[in-house]
Amino acid sequence: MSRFQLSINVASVDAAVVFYEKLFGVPPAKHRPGYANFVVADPPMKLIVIEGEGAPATINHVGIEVADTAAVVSETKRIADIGLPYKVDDTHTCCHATQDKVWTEDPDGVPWEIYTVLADTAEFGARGH
Amino acid sequence: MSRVQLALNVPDIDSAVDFYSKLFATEPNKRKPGYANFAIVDPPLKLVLFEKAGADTRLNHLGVEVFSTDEVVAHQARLIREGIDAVEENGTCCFAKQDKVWVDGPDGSWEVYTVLEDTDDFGVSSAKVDDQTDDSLCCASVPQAEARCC
Repeated sequence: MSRFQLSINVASVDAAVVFYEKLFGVPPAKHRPGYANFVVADPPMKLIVIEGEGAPATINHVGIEVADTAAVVSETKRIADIGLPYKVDDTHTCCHATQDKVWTEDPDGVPWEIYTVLADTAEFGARGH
Repeated sequence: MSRVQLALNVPDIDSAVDFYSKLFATEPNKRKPGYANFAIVDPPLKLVLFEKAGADTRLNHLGVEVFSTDEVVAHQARLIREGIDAVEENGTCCFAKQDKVWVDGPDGSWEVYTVLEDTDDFGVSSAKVDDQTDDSLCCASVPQAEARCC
């Protein structure tokens, strides 16, 4: 089973963390300067809040988190076969985690990633997109 | 188990439906003029599309869909205990009769809602309906008028 990922731009990560801890009843799984994520069990979701990347209350990006690299590979083949735009990212570090991923984009420019997390890292790494 | 709702503004509903049908290998759960939603099993997600050509942001609103009014009520009580104003709003919106509460976050609004039954009419979402006649899908104002459409 995969998990939906929602990444939104916020004015203040600290203020967003206070709100989302209450809304979903869980503390952040990761909280760094300008970045936090929540692993929410119910509803199933990886929620990410990012500061300084875009206007508050806008989508930074959205994604589908899958179990492993094999699932990223099979999803890449599937979306290529049906003609969706895609761009494969080589294994790299982003958002405090080493990941394998492929990007697509909806007709109106909303970026979707299909990705798996290989390992957590201390540094942020490159920007996601 | 609840699921996240992601509601997007799209300039062209047909091309968006085509893309998301392919991305999630799922046909729309509901398809109306200017409106579509997808009930996606894997990943669990209610994806909603509003055709709004002039929208200046792709994000319409966010939500948590639960599967009974009791759950909406329980969430409302929990949120109020946490000091978050959870505003009740029941009625017909988005071609469905719903019970819901809205909360304002620091960066946008979230609804916690359940669908009671489908309807043929779009309906309205909010206690105060937007007066703009050129944008019949856009509702107002509980609690943040401009940030959200139903």
